[in-house]
Amino acid sequence: MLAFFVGMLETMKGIHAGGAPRGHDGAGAHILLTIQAVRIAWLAQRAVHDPLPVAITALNKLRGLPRQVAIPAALRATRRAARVLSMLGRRSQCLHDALVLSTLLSDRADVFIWLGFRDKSAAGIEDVDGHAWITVGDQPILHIPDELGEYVASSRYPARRPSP
Amino acid sequence: MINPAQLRQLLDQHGITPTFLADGTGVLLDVQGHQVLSLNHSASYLVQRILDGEDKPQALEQQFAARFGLSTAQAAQDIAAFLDNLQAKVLAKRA
Repeated sequence: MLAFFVGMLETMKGIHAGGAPRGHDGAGAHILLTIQAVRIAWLAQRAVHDPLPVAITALNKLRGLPRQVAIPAALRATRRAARVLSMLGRRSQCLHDALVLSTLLSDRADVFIWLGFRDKSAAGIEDVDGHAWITVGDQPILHIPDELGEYVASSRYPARRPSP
Repeated sequence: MINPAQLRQLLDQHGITPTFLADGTGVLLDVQGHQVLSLNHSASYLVQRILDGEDKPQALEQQFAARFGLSTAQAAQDIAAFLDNLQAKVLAKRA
């Protein structure tokens, strides 16, 4: 695992060493964002042992979080981070993904993490079927739109960075 | 034994969120306690009635008995068992 992070950092150093802005391809920005997402995802896996509002606050207080990230880019980085954690033997669940994505976007004013449930007959299971997703404004993310109606929203928590 | 008003207070106090689902079952989300409590049809009905403001045990027993075809004595016993069980589950996470 350490080797992985060292490798990532070298990649990051390489980007900085290149010096020139990469506005047209954005590859450097994508890699940096993915590194951020992996960092948040790693911490999110531990943070979920705390009550959710505490975990959200702790993640939103992290230093060096990216600013003004476009939603599709944040979503891609979140999914990449989940894959990276999966390679490290850490299964990423919807709540982890929601924490990562909401943290990446938490410099916005209207980001919420939602928790919801659906009835067992719809889910075809015996146990409770819960799901976590986020909304930015009115837009639900991390949710298959067709399924959205099946989950009944239970509670929501704002993801907001503290004022600088 | 805990009464309906005390249960409502307990849920409020600990920020426990109820969700009632289309199939008549429900879920209590206890974020602080890190637990999700599944409610079957009768438990969901009880929690719904209590959160709707039904504070009188006798009225609750009569409604519950009528809804599920029980004697009021059986309803009273079931309600008491449910309320005590729920209280124990909530408090167990805060011991």
